[in-house]
Amino acid sequence: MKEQAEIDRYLPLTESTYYILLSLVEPLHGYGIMQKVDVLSEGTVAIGPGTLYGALQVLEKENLIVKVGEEERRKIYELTAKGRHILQKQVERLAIMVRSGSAIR
Amino acid sequence: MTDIQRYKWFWPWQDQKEEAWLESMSEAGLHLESVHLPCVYHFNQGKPQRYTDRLDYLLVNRDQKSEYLQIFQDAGWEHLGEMSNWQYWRKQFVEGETAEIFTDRESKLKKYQRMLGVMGFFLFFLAFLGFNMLTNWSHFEDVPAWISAIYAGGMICYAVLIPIYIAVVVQLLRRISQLKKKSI
Repeated sequence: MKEQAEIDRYLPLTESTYYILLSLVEPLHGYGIMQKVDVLSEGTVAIGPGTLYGALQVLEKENLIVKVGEEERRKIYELTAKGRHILQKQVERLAIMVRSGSAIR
Repeated sequence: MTDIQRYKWFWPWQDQKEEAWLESMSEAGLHLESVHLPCVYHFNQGKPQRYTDRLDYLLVNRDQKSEYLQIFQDAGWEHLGEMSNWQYWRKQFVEGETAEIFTDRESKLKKYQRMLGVMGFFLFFLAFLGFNMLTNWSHFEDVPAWISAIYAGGMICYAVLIPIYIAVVVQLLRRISQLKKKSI
C-alpha cells in the first residue's frame, strides 16, 4: 500500500499545482509554464511568479518534475514518471467528481 | 532624476502596508530607486505613474536566485532591489488586470512562514544568549564596576530586543493563521 500512501500525500492537488504539472507533459521553462496554464485553464487560473517559483522548487524536490535543460538562466522542466502517475491519479478523481456533479451543470 | 530619501519603518508583517505606500509614492511621481538600509528609501523624481509594487521574502542561494529573478522578469516584473532577504518588485499597472506575485493562498502563507522561521530563530538565539548572560552574571562576586556595566548594558539590550522579537513572531503567527482560515 506504499502507492496509496504516496497518492494520499499529494492529492488533492491545488488548482495551481495541477495545472503546473499538466503543462509539464512537455518540457517548458518558467514563463512558458505560466502562459500554458492560462491556456489550459481557459483563463480561469493565473499563476504568479512567486507562486510558480515556489511550486517548481517543491515539485523538483519531491521528484515530480525534473530539470531537463537550461536556456539563458531559464531552467527547463518536465514531468517525471512519478509526476505523470500522480497527475493521472488526480485526473481520475476529477473525472469522478465531474461525472457525479453533471446533474448540477 | 534627483535622489530623494525617505525614512520609514515597516514591521515584517506590514508588507502590504509598505506595498501600498510605494504605490502611492509612485502616484505622486516618486519612484523607488533602491533600498539599502532598513528604513532608508531612495526615490527618483519623475512623472506620476500607476504601478503595482509587491514584496517577496526570499531565502535562496545564488544559483536559485538567478532562476527566481528570470521567472519574475519574464512575467513583466521589474526588480528594484533587495534588502535583507526582501525583494522589491514593480509592474506597470494595466486597467482590468490584477497583477500579483502570489496567486494562491498556500504560496502567500509560505512567505510568512519563511519570515517566521528567520525571526523565530533570532528570538531563540537572543533568548539563549540572554539567559546565558543572566546565569553568568548571577555568579559574579568580585567584579570591577566596568564589567558589571557592560553586563548591565547587555541585559538592557536583551530586555528590549527579546520582547520586540516576541511581538514580531506573534504578529506573523496571527497573519499565518488568518491566511490558513478557510471557511469550508
